[in-house]
Parts: sequence; structure tokens; C-alpha cells
Amino acid sequence: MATQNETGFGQISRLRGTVFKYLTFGASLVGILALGVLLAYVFWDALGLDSAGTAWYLTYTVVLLAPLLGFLAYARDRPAVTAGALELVGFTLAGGLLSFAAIIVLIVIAGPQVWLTYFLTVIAPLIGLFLYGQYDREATWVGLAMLGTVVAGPIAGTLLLGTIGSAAALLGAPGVYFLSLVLPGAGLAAFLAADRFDASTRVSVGTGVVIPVLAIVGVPLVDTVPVMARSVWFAVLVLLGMPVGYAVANTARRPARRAAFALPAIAVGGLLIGELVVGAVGASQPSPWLDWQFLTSPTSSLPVSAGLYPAVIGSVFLIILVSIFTFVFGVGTALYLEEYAPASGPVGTLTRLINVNISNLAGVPSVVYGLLGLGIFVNIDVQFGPVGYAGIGAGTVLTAALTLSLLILPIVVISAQEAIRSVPDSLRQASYGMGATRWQTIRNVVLPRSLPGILTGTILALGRAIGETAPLIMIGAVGTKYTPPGGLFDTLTAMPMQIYTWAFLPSEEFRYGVVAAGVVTLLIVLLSMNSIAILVRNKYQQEAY
Amino acid sequence: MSDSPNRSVSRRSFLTSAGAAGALALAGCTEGPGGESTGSQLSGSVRITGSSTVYPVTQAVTEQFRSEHSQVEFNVSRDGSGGGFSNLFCEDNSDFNNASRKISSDEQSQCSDNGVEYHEINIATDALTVIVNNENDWAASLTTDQLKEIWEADGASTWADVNADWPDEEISRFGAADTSGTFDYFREEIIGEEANHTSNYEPTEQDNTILQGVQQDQYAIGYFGFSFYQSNQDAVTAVSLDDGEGAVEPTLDNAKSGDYPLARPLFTYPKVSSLAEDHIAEFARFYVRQSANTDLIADQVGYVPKTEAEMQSELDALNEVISNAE
Amino acid sequence: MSNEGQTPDLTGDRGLQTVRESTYKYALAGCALLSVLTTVGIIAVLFVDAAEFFASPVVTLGEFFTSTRFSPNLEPVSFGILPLVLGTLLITFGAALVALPIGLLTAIYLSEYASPRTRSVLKPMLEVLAGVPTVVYGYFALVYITPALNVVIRTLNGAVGTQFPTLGLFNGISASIVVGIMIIPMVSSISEDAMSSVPDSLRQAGYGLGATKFNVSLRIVVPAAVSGIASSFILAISRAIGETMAVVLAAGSRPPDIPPVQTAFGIIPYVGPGDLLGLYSESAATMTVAMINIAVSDLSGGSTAYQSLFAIGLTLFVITLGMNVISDAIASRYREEYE
Repeated sequence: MATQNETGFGQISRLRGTVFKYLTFGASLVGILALGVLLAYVFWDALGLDSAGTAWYLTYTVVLLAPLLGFLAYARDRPAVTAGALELVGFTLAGGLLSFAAIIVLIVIAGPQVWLTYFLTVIAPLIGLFLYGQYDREATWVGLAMLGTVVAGPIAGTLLLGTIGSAAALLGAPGVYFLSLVLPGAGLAAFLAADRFDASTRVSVGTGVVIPVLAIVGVPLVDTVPVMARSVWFAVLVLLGMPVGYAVANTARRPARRAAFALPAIAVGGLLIGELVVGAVGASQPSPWLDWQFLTSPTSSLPVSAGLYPAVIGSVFLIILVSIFTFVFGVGTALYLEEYAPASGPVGTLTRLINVNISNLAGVPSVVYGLLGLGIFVNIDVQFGPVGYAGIGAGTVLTAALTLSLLILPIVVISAQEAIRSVPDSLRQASYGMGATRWQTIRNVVLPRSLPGILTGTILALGRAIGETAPLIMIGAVGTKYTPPGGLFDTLTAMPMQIYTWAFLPSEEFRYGVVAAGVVTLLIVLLSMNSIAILVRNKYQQEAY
Repeated sequence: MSDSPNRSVSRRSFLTSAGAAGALALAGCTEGPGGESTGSQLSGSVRITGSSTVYPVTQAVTEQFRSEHSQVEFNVSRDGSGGGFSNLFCEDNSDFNNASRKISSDEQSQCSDNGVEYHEINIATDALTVIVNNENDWAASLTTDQLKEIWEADGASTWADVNADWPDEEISRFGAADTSGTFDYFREEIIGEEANHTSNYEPTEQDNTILQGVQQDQYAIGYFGFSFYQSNQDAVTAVSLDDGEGAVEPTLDNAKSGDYPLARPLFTYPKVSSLAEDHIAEFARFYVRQSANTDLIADQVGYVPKTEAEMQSELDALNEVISNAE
Repeated sequence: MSNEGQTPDLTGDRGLQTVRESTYKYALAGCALLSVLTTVGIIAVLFVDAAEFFASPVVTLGEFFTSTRFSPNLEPVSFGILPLVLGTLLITFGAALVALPIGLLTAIYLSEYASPRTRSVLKPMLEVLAGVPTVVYGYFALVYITPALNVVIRTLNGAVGTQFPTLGLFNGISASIVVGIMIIPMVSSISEDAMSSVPDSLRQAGYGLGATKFNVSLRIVVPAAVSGIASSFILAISRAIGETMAVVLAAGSRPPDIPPVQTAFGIIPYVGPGDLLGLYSESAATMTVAMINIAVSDLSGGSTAYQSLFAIGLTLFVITLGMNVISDAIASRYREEYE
């Protein structure tokens, strides 16, 4: 009886809404399409795809692309399989990046002596305190103790560098990494087995024991491979093997997810089969600029032998330092401004001024930050009574890291502030109502809920920092360096700096081939970082509700 | 919708893990039994800053040096001649400063204020090249007066203003930014003292945009260093210059013999206190010796090498400074 | 009373707790102090050299602010900042025109219309846009966008008979487009976060009253999230103002010529649209471009021309400060808090 036309309410045109919906959808695609065109051009040049024959394309389409698409169509309607696949890929990616970064920082740059020193004075006490704090929830002094360790630990470590260094020499490099990576890793594995997988005590202890045993058993095998050192094997086992193992175990134990194993099988199998077929048929392969040689050799004046290795190491080192610095100071500042600072009165006005100041700093051009870095980290020479400060060197890792951190700090602070502000006040009040102190509220209520938003802002900002060239130029980062940086006070070259240098060389091969390969490498690192951040953010968002 | 990220993810993870494996391999290498040096025992680090024009020479020379002395580390940056002097070299932050012009008096006083002593070495010569579009068949040869008319302020605005037979189209100019040494040199040599360089041109610090601009516009004209022309000879046409003694093509031989009018000297300035260190002194000698190496300077980089005699006198002067420094 | 073992002691441990609370409070305040120190540092570094610049006999304050020519080394030498300010305005306005509408529409789509799966795919893809190095964007503009736009303009002129000027190798339009694309993710991500945090109860109330989704999105959600949207706009515009490398490559190193200002009815000044288009089709160096060109140039470090770099930096800093003060005043008026 009550058809739409007879209700008396009249008709509302849906046209506007639909048009608007497609308009907004189109808008979202604009940027992505532009990006797609750019990426396509860059990847095409970097991978040298124009020299590949149809046979090559055909082979890989059949062997790799089609099965992958098939798997994706299959997984589309099965959320469990998708979740499993994402987890596998994500953890492999994260593990790969983590082990890559750890090898670069702990083994190549720091070396066994430095690493052992700071491990014993900073990391081990922090882990111990953390574990104790988890075990004995009543001990509220743990947080303060951890703060104290962070401050006093590095100082103690620097003082004890000599003694612990000689101890490290006695142990030998593999021994140091065995002690500091494998054993804690084994402990973590045992704990995870018991906690996450509800394994019996025997199985957990077994897992814990398997890891050091694997490490030791693998040594003679690794020794036969001349390029891989024992320390590297330990690092890979713990930092890549464990996340992958965790993901595998997690996926294997739920029958619904087991189909996700098809993904790595297709990827690896497809690539291998593709290689075999292409080799057998003799199809013309692409001649990529981005290859092994590119990633592992230093720059050169000849395009064919130019490479990105020292720049990659430099960038990784920079990003790690920058992310630590900006996360700590950025979130700290945001917390203070949102939670502690009063909103009215004289201090309130000061708070507002600081807010405006931070917004302003976000817009200061990167060149000015370069000038700032040059002025206070490089060309300075002041005396404060007995103590003098003559800067921390032109173009050194520390100068570059601090300058870049200052550059992106305002952005991190602003996004963190928005994220913290979006936590409903009712939650805070509920926490206070239960008798929690301000810090407890922050730590248990505000931070977990605002963490996804904070991570969004931090990742965006870090992505910017990776690609910044102007400040690096100003502080004297070098355009040609043949070896990676060896410490905090060593000079460095970074990926954007290297790409910028190449982009303006006379030879066309540099400008179109080598630059493209460099850009693709940079983008891959960026994409991996972004992917990990997204996965982490998704995970936290599920748990928050 | 969700296929692209996944497909590119597995490719990505392949590339990332491949890269990781590669780095592992290399890390293993660096940790191998104590460095087996290729013969030489020289080690240490060398910091070179300064002009981006001289940069390609320095890069080629340091690479050569490293193949014989792999333990020596080099840090080469392009900060501009002036930036290099005032921010780095004269602040005692680098060992060598490259320059596409001589050190200025301001920089000299800054260096002496900070106790930085230097020695001047003429390392190569650049044959500044004027280029026009490949379709430009009327101006393949210009007199220096015509060039001046094109490039001076309030000079010619169309090609026909220079020569009535030429097309009546506006001239598009591409040249060095007014803050660069190249600009200073061009202005001194072609425009001279009485007139000013025109501001109706596209200034740029990046020479390949000059190349691109001239390549895309039939009525364009530009100038840059010879090395850029040498690497892109098919893209543009080089103009022969006539300063009264016949049209001379811009080639390295003509610049070397002195016939080509636009030949400008390139310098490097080592710090005297750095020369007291063995590896820097040895590198400095190597650098000077390479300045006469035609394969390196001319063929690979695109500048004019020094003659043997010139190189020898530079080397002698350098050796004297080194022995005084130690 | 009988659960003494289980009830936590509410009266004890105050001492340590107070210490802990104060430690955290002061530690966090110290972090906030860092931002103040940064500003002080920037002002100090810029001011010292800018003062030297203005003290030089060649330069006067009046000339700096009124001269219509900026040429530090090219005779006749003149240090006028107006052309550079015009360049910055052109590029920023163009980039904002590209990025703000697209970013806002994207954010609305992501937060209101998109299914969770589409959202989880689109949002990360947009964030990648922000990570591409700026040098690459500038290069892309120079090598691809400018020629493509020229083809479009020529076809349009030929087919329809319009008189659009063709773009030079360096031009303001490509630079604006590219900077705009670069800042889209800033607008969309932060606006979307702000819109997502608008409580669903407001939306449901709107639906309950019979509003369509279009009405709810535009009339309820967007106004509610206006402070977050505004701060994303400000962040994006600040980034556009400070962008250096992409603009250097795409818009060149020559500051725009100040166009003639005509008057309508004798009182209202305006710039003819033809002149405006002309501005965009030629090089438009901004303040940041001038700074970096001087910084990597061969100019002697102590020279007046080199020090003009600091004067420009100081001006830029003051301009962005003024902009942020005004926008803070506006944003705090409109900020809404829920619950």
C-alpha cells in the first residue's frame, strides 16, 4: 500500500549524491594515476624492460602472473586466507628489512666491540627491566629505572668501551653475536611459543633450544659459503628466521589460513620455473640498470659500473637515527602539549605560542634547516666556561641525522597532536575515575588509542626525510663517496644525494638509466617501510576496538 | 582492486630480500680475514669540496687512484666554488677545494684568518661551447661580435636583428645562472666591461636543462661546458666562433692550441697542512700527473688536458710545497 | 575489610609516584622546549647574516622591499624581493588549487564512501605519493609534464582557436601541478583522520532526520572536522611554500616579471587574466629557489650577494609565521570538541 510515491514525503533526488560519490572517487584516483604513470616510467627504465622480448613476457605471464592472479581471485572471498597471506608477506618483509638494517648497523657499522658494549650497558638492562615490569606489575619504579638506563647507559658504555672491547675481542665476533642475538632470540621464541601458541612447557623449551642449536649446526655449512660470515648467519637466523617462523606457525595452525602458503609457493616456484624456461628457450631478457652490481658497488664515472651501495647504507643509518630521535621527541612534545600543558593562564598562552611556533616550523623550507644545521652543527665554535663545542663535523652522519630530525619534527608533532586529540575525553575521565595518575592514563589509555594516528604521521614524515636533498647539500654531505659510513662521526652520502648528483651529469645513460635505478631502489625501501607501517597500524586498529 | 599491491609486493619482497641477501654477502666480505690491500699501504681519508664543473675530473681521478690504493677513502662533494671556499675549505673542513675561477680576495682573507694555507693548481681547461638547435642552419658559425649582440642587455631580440637574412623569430636564450663561474667567464670574455649580460634568458645551475631547452626550441641558443656537448653531440649543434682569425670549431685540440677563444682554466686548491700527510701528498701528485692524461681528461670527462711541460712545472711546484709542508 | 591482601594500598607509595609523575612531566616539557630552541636557532642563524647583508652599503631596506628586480650578480645589481614573493605566491596558489580540492574530496571519499577494503588499499597508495623524492618530481615535470601540456595547448589552440600561450621549458604550471600532487597525501591523510574521528552518533543523527549521505558528509562531517581539515590545509600550503628542489627544476631560476597592474573603474586594482596566464607560462623562481641557487653557486661566501640568501630566508620565515598566527586564530575559533 505504501509505495514510495504515496508516502507524502516526496522524492529526494539521489543524483547529486551519486555524482558526488563518483567525483570523490575520481579525485582519489587522480593522485594515484599520476603516481602510477611516474612509477611506470621509472620502473620501465630501471628494469630495462624495453629490451625484453615477447617470449620473456609470455613466460612470466604464464608462470608467475597468472597463478598469482588466480590466487588473488581465490583469496578475495576468503578473508582468512587473505589475512594469512598478508601476515606471511608482512612478516617476511619486516624480517628482511630488520635483518638488513641490523646487519648494516650492528655488524658493518658498529662492529662487535661497540655493539657488545652498548648491548651490555643499555639494551640488556632495558630488556631485563621491561621483563621484570611485566612480571611484577606493582613495581612502579621500573619506568623510572628504564628512563635512567637510557640516560646513564650510553655514558657508562662509552666509558667502558675499552674494557668491554677487549672482552669482545676474546669472545670473537661470532661469539658476541651469538650471545647478544641468538640467546635472547631463543628466549623470546620460547616465550612466544608458550604465550601466543599455548604450547606446552616442553614444546616451548624445545623451541627455545632449537634456535641456538640451529645456529651452531649451521656454522659449518655457512663456512663453506665464502661470502657469508657467521655473525651474519646468526643475525639472519634470529631477525629474519624468527618472524617468518612466527608467521608460518601462526598460519599453519589455523586450517582456514593454510591455503595462504600457496602465495610464497607461487612466487618462488614461478620465478624458478620462469628462469629455467627463459634460459632454455633463449628469450631475450631485459637488461636492467637495477641489478646486483648496482646495489653492491660504489659510484663511478662510468654509467655501467656505477652503484648505490654506500648511499644505501648511509640512508639506512640516517633513517634509523632520525626515526628514533623524532619519535621520542615528537611524541614527547605532543604529549606534553596535549596532556600536561594548561590551556589557560600565562602558561596557557605560552602553550599556544609553542603550538603556533611548531606550525610555523613545519613550513620552514628545507634549505633553511640546512642553514641551521650548518650554523649550529658545523661552523660553530663556542666556549661555555671550561667546556668548548666546536660542532660535530661537516657532512657527518650525526649532523645529517640531527638536521633531518629537526626538519621533520614539527610534522610529527602536529600529526601526533591530532591523533592524541582525537582520543575521546570520556576515556581519560574514566581512567582518572578509577584512580589512575596522569602518566598511567597516558600510558594505558591515550597512547595505545592514538598510536595508529601517530604512526601515520611519523611514516609520512620519515618518507619525506628519506627523499630530502637540500639540507644534505647545505651541511656538506658528499656527492661521491666510495665506502659506507663507519660510525656516527663519519661522512656520509645518502640515496637522494647520490641520485641528485647523477641526474646532472652529462652522459645520457646516467640521467635516464642509473638515475631510474636509484629512484626505484629508493621507492622500494620506501614502499617496504610504508607496508610495514600499514600492517602495524591495521593490527593496532583491530585491537583497539 | 587488490591485485596490484599484492603482485608488486611479492616482486618487492623479492627485490628487498635479494637486496638483503646481497648486503649479507657483502657484509660477510667486509668481515673476512683482515683486509688484503692491493699492494699499497697508503690509507686515510681525503675530503674534496667545491665547483661542480671540476667535479667530473675529480671523480674520475679519485676512482683511478683508488684502484691502486684501495685503502684510501674519498669524500667528494659539489658545493660550488664559492660555497666550498667559504663554508668548508676556509673553515678548515676539507683538504682540497675545486674552483672554476681563481680564489677571490674575500676568500683569501677568510682562509688566512682561519690559518688555512693553500696552493693553487691549474688542473685542466674547459672549452666553453655555444650551442644551437639542430634545425638552426643559419647560425652554425658566429663572430664574437654577433655573439655579444645576442647576449648583451638591450641587444638583439630576434635573429633578424643580428643579421637581416636570418629568420625574424625571437631568440630563446639558455645559459648559466648569474651566480656561477661560467657566467662570470662568459661575461668577461664576450660581453666585456662596457655592456651588461642580458637578463632575458633562462638561467640555470644544471647544464642538462640548457641542453634540453636548446634541443626543443628551433630558435634557441645556449652555452655550457664542453663535457656536456661531448656526451650529447647528436642532440645539438656546436657553434664555431670567429674572433677575427677565422671560424674555429669548439674542439679540445683547438682549445689546447689556443685557437678557440673561449678556453677557461679550472683549478684545485689543496690545503698545505693536509699535504703533510702521505696519502694526501701522493694523491696530489697523482692528480697533477693525471692532468696531462688525454684519455682521462679529454675522452672520458671532456676537458682540455695540460701539456706535458705545463704538467711538469705544476708537479715541481707541488713537490716543493709538499717538502716545505713536512 | 576482609580483603586486605587484595586491595591495593591507596595511602602508600605517594612519594615515589609523585617523583615519577614529575619526572615524566618535566621530561616531556623538555621535549617541547626543543621546538622553541629550534626556532631560536633558526632566527639567530638567519638574523646574524641578514643583519650583515642590510648593513652593507650596496643595500637599503627600502630597495629590498620595493625593487621589482632580483639579480644578485647580473648587472645592474638589484636585491628586490618582490619578484621572488610573486613567484612563491604563483606556485603556492597553483599547487593549492590542485591539491586542496582533490585532497579534500579524496578524504571525504575515504572516510565516508569507501568500503574498508578499498580504504585499506587506497590510503597507503596515497601515502607513497608523499615519499617520492622531490628531485624526481621536478625532473618528471621538466621531462614529461611540460611537453605533454604543450601538445595539449597546441591542439586546443589549433582546434578551437583559443590563444593560450605555449609553455616555455621552465614554467609555473608544471611546477604547480607537480607540487600539488606532492602535497595531496598531506591534505587527504590528515583530513581523513580528522573526519574519521567525528563520532558516528552525529552521522546517525543526521540519517535519522532523513538526510542523504551527501548531506551528512558535506553538512555535518566536514564542518565538524573543520579544525583538522584546516590544519591539514595549512601544513600542505606550508610545504608548498617551502618546496625547493621540484620548483628549481620545473620552474627555473628566473623570477617572474611583475605584471602591470590595471585599475577597474579607476579604483580597484587587478591583473589581467592574460597577464596572469603569461606569468604561469614562463619561469617563476620562488624565494626558496633563489636561496638554493645562491647557496650552491660560485659566489664568494662573504659577499653581499651570498648574504642576500639569509635576508630572503628571514623574509620567508616572517611570512610563514604571520600566516600561521592568523590561521591559528581562525582555527581555534572553529574547533569543536566532542564528549
